[in-house]
Amino acid sequence: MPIKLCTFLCYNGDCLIAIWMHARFNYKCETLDPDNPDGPRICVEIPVHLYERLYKYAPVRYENLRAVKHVLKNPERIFAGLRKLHEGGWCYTGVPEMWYIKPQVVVPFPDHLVFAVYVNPRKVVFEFGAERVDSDDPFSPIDWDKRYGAPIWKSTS
Amino acid sequence: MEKHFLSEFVQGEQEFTARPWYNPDGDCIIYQTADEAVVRDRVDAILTMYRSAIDNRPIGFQIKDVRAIIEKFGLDALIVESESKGDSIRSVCLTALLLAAYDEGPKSLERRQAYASAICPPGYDFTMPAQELCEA
Repeated sequence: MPIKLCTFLCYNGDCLIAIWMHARFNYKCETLDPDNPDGPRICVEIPVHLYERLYKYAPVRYENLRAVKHVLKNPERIFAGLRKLHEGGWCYTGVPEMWYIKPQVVVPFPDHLVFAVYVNPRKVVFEFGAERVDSDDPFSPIDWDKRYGAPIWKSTS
Repeated sequence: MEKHFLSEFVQGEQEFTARPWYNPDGDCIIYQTADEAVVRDRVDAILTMYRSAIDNRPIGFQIKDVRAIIEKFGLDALIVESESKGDSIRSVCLTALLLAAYDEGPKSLERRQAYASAICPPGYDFTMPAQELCEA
């Protein structure tokens, strides 16, 4: 876990000055390695510019970063091949127990949706949200077979 | 709900703001018009509509592969110029970007309706009575 404050020490020729600053950092979430799902877990980052922006300007989305963390920790499916024009990247899907639907309102996550977290090739989260589930699989987004390159991992539970 | 895992690392006031922004990590533009949970509704490889998890109305969109669109059409084709306090401001026109993206795919009714929803967000009345056209 990164620290909240960082200290800089500098000497101006006369005295030692300590400066305490609020640290800004990407938050690291543990998850399965999409290149080796059966191997050791890796860290995927939620970038500081994303969570700070959501905190200030989109509070409900900021609250639903909890679901992002849950899905990365407990994925049900991982898909590869997200974009036609960009190589790489993955979609992790899962089902959080609860989510925010508007400020201060928390409800159970509905059965007809699955929560998707999009991760770029540098292992950075860039998008997330609920999606309608596919009729054949309650843990896959609708039309997954037309949208993604291939499912690369499925939970066995 | 338990304390947010990021609560120690954010500070300041919170105020929902409907304003498009470019996310370089995803090469995408995101625009959301209501502070509600989002259900993503993929239209095509470029456009994903955001629908309210409460009542399914459109509340924004994501435009993907923005750099590729700009490379194909040129930034000048997507820029509008305005003035503020005597300074010239160059802005990317999201309508032009959406129209360029629409040109990239099949001309289906479903796509046209989705792109129209993105171009005219709720609350912005860009409609007129159909009867006026029928009578003309």
